[in-house]
Amino acid sequence: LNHHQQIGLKYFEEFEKRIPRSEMQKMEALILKELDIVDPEYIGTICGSYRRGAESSGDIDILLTHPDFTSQSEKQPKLLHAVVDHLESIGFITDTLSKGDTKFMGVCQLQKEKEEEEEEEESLHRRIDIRLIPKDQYYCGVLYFTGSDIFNKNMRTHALEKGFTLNEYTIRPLGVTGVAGEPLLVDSEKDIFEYIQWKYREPKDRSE
Amino acid sequence: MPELKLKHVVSCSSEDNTHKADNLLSSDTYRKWKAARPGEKQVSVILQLEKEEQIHSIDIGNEGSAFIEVLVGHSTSVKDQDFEVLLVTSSFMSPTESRNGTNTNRVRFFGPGQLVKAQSQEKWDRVKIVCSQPYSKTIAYGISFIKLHSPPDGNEALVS
Repeated sequence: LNHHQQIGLKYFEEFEKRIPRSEMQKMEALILKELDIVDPEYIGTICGSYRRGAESSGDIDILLTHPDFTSQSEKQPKLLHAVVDHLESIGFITDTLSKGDTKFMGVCQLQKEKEEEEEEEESLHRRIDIRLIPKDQYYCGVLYFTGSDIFNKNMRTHALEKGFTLNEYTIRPLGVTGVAGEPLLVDSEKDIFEYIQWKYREPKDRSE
Repeated sequence: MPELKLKHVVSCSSEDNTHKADNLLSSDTYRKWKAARPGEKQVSVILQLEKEEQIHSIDIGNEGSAFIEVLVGHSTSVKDQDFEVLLVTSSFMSPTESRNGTNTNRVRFFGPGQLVKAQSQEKWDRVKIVCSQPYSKTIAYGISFIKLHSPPDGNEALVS
């Protein structure tokens, strides 16, 4: 068995279990607090169905960016590794499945709060992914990884009708012969809706 | 980098009575071309160059457009579809600027690295400029100027 498979086996039963929203909220608060400690300039968003308000989630998917990292700059694996190392040092990240320049895949576990130590059971091990995204592509990424898949498909269709091509990295206007133009400046999810003249929809309203 | 001479306007989708497409031929940059009416979905103008030339860089002065694209073609070709993209659709005003009517005259310079390589290495004698402004129904828009430059000539390059 390789390392990946060993971890999968070790936590097999725990990974099968859904994560209740209340636990996701605790993990979100912890992650955002710790990000701020590493460097207040980090921006982190827990995406997936959790962001859409789901009552339970299968894993944790964090999108991370920092103003020093753009699609024009050099790769900056340090920005990702500093966060992973810190979350490891406080005992939140317990195992690593893979650690690349822009994506970390691993395992995390909420520590018991001191006063509850006696009565409360230990939290389960959870699958966690952290992606480091260039700042200029961050909100297209957040939109994409928030989903839902059906919503994304409908939004891309509407974008095309308005003459834009939208993917997880950029939104670009289409020219008269169908050639995609330069990536447009995006500083929030709202900007993307504005470009394609669509009324903004909160994450909770993005099921389709 | 010599500036290419623009000979005449081949056609344009529409033009304002004062701000005619012919204005783009003059080097006076305060003279602009605007569509006849506000709220047009897309406006375009085709310009004839004096002779076939390679285009190395482009300067564009905006007049209210949100997006501008530049295509190139040959006067000998029969079909309008034969235009090919030299400068991909580029942003000149954000949706907010468009609605508020601010920063309507932004100027952008596009160097050789920003032009589509295949098209910048060939010679052309027609240029088609396509503007759009989907975010405002109240401004008649176009461009205030366009300057096309040929590659620096051999002698000049040697001297420098």
